[in-house]
Amino acid sequence: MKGQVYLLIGVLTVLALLSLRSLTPFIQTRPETTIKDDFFNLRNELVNAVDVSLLNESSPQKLMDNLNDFAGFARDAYSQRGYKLNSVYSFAYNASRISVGNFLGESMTGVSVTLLPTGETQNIPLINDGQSVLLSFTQTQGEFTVVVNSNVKSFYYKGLSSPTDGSVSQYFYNNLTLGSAFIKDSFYFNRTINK
Amino acid sequence: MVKGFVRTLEAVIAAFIVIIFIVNFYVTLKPQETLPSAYSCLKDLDNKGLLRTYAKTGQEDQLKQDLGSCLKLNLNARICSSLDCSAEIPENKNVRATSYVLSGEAIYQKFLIRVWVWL
Repeated sequence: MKGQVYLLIGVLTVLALLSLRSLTPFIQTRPETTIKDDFFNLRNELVNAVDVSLLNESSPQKLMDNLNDFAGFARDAYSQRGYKLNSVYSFAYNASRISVGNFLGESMTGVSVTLLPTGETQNIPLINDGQSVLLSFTQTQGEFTVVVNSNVKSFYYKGLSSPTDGSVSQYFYNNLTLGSAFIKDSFYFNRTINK
Repeated sequence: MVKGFVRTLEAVIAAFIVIIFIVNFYVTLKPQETLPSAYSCLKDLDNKGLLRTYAKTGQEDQLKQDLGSCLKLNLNARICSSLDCSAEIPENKNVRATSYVLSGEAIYQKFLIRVWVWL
């Protein structure tokens, strides 16, 4: 066989591939929901749960019930898809009423809630998973800061926020503090909330 | 001897043409169309203020219609107020599922929106 035959076969192959390329539609679909999407969805809707509760002038207990209901509902919905997107929140209705909800998938022990600048502290030895506490403080007005600590640790979801001293990704809005992450070991958070 | 050399050279050139073309073919291969994800379609509907209305009024058909025009793929969607939220989906297809949670509008109401998409 002469060498030109190979050249001819090469050109014909190229032509065949070109025609295949032009005839075959190539449509790309974006990947479905990412963990980051779900985190922001959960975050926005917890904020919305606070907003609609305040809009309806709900009591601190009712607001906490709504947050608990939604945090548990969302977590169960994510778990049906085979992964954990857990959350923990603290909400200061005002300086005198502060709630902490645990949806981390494990118990939080050694929880302390401190109100600054008075330094008034309340210790909660145990908040079981799915539970929340509503605390009463004596301060009723003025600037205040809430610091919540627990001996539970966690690792943060990268890209959501920078970790500082081992803390988890957090979100702060109004008087709501939300921490949400894939939980491995333990978790703690603290943050200033100014009213 | 020279003839044999020329034929070999021609064959090598032919092989080069094919290899260079194939490499170029895959390097420059770009999708003709990039479709959005179900999540981004749901997010868009939420930003437009439609998703919460659909959820509140249970307009599943309207939701499917809007998602269909956004996704341009086969889909099924449900609006549920509990976690018992399933739908009929083809068994022999590669189906992808997306969830979106809502906490109401004006009043607290929880909803789970599920979308199943397949080619």
